[in-house]
Amino acid sequence: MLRKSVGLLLAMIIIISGQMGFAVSNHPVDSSQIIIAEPTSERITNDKQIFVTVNITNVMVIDHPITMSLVRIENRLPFADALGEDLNVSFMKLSSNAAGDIDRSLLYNTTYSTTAPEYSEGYVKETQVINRFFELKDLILAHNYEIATINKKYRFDLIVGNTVEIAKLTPEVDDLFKQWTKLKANIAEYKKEYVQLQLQYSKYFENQIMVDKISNLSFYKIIGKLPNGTYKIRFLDDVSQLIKEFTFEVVDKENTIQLIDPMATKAN
Amino acid sequence: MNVVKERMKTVLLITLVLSSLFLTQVNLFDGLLISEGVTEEIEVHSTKLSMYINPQSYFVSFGGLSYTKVYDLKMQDNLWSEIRPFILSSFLNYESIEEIDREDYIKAFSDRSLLVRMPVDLSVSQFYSIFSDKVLSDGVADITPREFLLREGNVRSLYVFDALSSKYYLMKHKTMQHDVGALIDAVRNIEIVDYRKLSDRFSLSSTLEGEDDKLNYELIPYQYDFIVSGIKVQNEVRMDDTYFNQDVSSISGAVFGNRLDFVKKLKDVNDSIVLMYGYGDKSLTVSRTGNIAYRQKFNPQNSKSLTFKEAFSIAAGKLENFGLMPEGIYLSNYEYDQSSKTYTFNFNYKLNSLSIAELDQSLDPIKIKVKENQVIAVDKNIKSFAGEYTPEKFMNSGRMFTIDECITNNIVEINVYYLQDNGIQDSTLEKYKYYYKIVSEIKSIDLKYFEESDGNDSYMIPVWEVKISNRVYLFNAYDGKLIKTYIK
Repeated sequence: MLRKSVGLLLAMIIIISGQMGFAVSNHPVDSSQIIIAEPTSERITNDKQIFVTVNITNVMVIDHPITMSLVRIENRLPFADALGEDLNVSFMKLSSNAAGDIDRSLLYNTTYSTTAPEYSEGYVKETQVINRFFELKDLILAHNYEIATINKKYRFDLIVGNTVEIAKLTPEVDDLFKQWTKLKANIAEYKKEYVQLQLQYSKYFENQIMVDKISNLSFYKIIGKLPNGTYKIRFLDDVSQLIKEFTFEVVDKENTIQLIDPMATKAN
Repeated sequence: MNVVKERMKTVLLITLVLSSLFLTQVNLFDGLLISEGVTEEIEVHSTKLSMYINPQSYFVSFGGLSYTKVYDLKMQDNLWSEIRPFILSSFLNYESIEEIDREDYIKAFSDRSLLVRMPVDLSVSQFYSIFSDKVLSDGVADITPREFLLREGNVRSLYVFDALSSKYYLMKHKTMQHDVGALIDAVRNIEIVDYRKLSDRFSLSSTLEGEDDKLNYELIPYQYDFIVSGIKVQNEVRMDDTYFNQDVSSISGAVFGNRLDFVKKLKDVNDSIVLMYGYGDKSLTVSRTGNIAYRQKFNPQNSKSLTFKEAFSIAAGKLENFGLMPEGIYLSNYEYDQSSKTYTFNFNYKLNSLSIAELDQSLDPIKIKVKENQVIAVDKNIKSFAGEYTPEKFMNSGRMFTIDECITNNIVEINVYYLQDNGIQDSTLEKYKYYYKIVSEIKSIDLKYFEESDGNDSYMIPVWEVKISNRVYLFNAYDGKLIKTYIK
């Protein structure tokens, strides 16, 4: 019995540490070794051709090429029209902005497909994801509100883990304290699920424009003119895990600050 | 009566003998007489020296990271004729001249500006003497400008780079202004190829370590969606008997005069044809490769030393009277040997807007030697355009090879030369270890024509002439192969 459980424990430890190791996998090229020479700015006007120039300071890239992908973040869900009545969320809410900020550590531990997306039959799975995502979003918001309300009155955050102080609480307050603690535990659970869904949801808005393999130290490509919008350049390793990401926006020329006169002509 | 008759006969006889002696001498030595006259001839001076001194690289900055290089001959002429008066005037009428840092110079080149590079290092006084007799002040006379930079917005300023002393100067004109902004707009309107500075293209500030040159402002083409066609070429003088005399007549006429009786025609072992004048005082050799070599014996009588300008003007004068004058001839190099008081002037020319690649150090298409006040040697090998032509083996190239591709395809050789030239011992076979270092040492990138032949036809193909440190590489622009390399 003991041997079996020890054996099982060992196996679990090995598997988990293997997973962790995989999660923090060694990329052939580090993020700091990929230098993006162009684009130089996060705001580019739509009247110019866009060039992507990348210089890599690690010769490993020659034997272990990395992938560069350029995606456009659409404002509207590409398959929004095909979604049926199972969708519990109003169309107005279905924007890429609704995804919010994604946890960085998760970002760099996820894989990105560079092939065309495959959707489930009738977009069933996608609908479920979207529904659950917004559901959790609301739940988390509601929980946070409750937690904040209780905390404002009782300042439970100051006595967490302090058994002496907790024992001093009156029964009603103690009940509230237990409720507050439960809410916090729930939120922790919800958040775990939420961040995964957040990532999935945001991927639905991505439209892949270009994929290329980089197997040289210096790489460049002429993208051409792009329409207004938000774009991401991603560098992926051989298992499609993200190494580096660069986001830029293409805007109308009028929206940028224009230099009228770069140098004063007086001091000639 | 008989006495008179006899006397008359004697006189007639003596006259006959004397006249026959005289006429024999005239006939036999006629050539010599004429040649003596010719050695006293004064060399022809050229009156269009300024035509040969002009920049060979024109770089335009549009601001941001965007640059271009102008190859179009008409636009080059236009730009030079617009800025030359300002440059010349600045040397004479400058209000101030100060030395500046390399960083400031490069910063000036990042905004809208025009940078031109001269192919040959002449001092300001030598350069100025071509255009005017005025004497320049000591402040500028000894500077040897390799580059001139004019910037929009600084309309009275002229930036100068002196390569020989590695110094950068900023000159301000007292009153005159330039309008380089309008020139930049004019360039923008023609079809341009986008270039980048090497420092931006290869992120040198991040990819290089230590003291290496992270600010390399040499330009590299970014877009490569253009193809330069090959061209068929022919020699100036065809070797076939049917054409030879006709083709060589203008040159031989210019150097031998119209009396071709004293010209002996010989055939050399390597099939070259030699025209020898008199007893070898002058000779003209035409070879199958197209090289036309003229040699004239130096005559120490009446010789005197000349200034740079005078020597240059008789060299150019000789060139102007030596057969075909191709388009875009320019002075590409000159040397002066103090001990023999000999100037050597090298010239190059343009075919289809591109210069001809040198096959080795100092192997320019035209070379003229001037010893004191006489032209003693001319070597001229120029080709004429005989139609566009791309050899079969290159037909399938959809586009030309990029500089990066040329370098990576030949990285092993370039590495070997790099280590060898810099005396670095490195036994690891890491091909890309010095990649960014090598790229940061690119001194110039030029598109030129290189001559090849397949059997009977001679043609020129476009090559990338890339100078890395002090070594020149010629890459075939169609297939990225390394054709030649030499130290310069």
